[in-house]
Amino acid sequence: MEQEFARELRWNNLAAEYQTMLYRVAFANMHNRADAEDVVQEAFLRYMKDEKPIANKEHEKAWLIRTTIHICMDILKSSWRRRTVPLEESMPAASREVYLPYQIRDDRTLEAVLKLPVHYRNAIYLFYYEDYSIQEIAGVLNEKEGTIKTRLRRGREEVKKILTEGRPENL
Amino acid sequence: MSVQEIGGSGQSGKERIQEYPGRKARERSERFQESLMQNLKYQGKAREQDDREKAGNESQRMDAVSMEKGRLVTGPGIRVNAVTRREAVQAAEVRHMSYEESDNIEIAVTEGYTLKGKLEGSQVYVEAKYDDGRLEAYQVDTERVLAQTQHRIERFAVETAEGMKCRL
Repeated sequence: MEQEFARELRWNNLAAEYQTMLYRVAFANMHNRADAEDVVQEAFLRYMKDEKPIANKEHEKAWLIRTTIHICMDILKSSWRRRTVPLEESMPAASREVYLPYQIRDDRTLEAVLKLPVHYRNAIYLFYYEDYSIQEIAGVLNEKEGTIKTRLRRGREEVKKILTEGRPENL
Repeated sequence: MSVQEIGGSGQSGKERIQEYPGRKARERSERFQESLMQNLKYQGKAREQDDREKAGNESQRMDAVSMEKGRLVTGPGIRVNAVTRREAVQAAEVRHMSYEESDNIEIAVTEGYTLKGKLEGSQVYVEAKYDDGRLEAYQVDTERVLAQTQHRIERFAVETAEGMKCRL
């Protein structure tokens, strides 16, 4: 009974600590609130089911972000997803805001980042908007640091293109 | 020819032998000293020239920096204390400050950097993160920053300070 209570408390703390950040990561990939919330819920469920011993807080955070991104990718790749259009697609851009805990000066750039191809988007989003270091992103995405640097550089060029031309090249 | 004879004639020969290397050595040492002096003179001149060039380059660089920072440009008749000019922005130790801890954030995706600032009295701590992995920190004395500055870090520090004063 006590064990169950302790576990529940730990999960509650975990959810309180990471849910907003995971929601933002999910939103950056899914582009709509309902899907992002589903993804975060699924990520927490997988964490609870997994029960693997996790070395430290950083590892735990990285695991949750990685799982969130994987779930997003799975959903985006699914045939059902490709055949349907979310309701929010027709809503104005303001509804697509990722609710960041700080003020940003330029919404257009964030919109452009969200339009990037997935491998650039996650690297750029985590680096600029979640303040992750290149080393941390490499850990989260299971890539080499050099790869992340390249993605950041190329992603930046893509953002410039989107802002000047108004559309992404590879989407 | 007896041994004695050789010894006798050997004495004068010995003297000659002693005299010959001595003269040679003296000549050699004189030549060496001469060339050494020449070298030293040349090196001294070269060093002086180098110093002059370095000083010139440094002053040119400082002028360029001051131009960039919108500050007074030194001319032949104007004396500006270089130390005072450089004091507004100073390198500091990186603290790995989070966005939540910062008072002001600038995210420049298209230029490849983020800036985080925190007001600390009259100074602003600024942390810059670049997309090549570099992480730099500065301590900016906003009272020394000129109003017309074009320097990115200085401008950001002033914005941070003004933003915080407005909030208070």
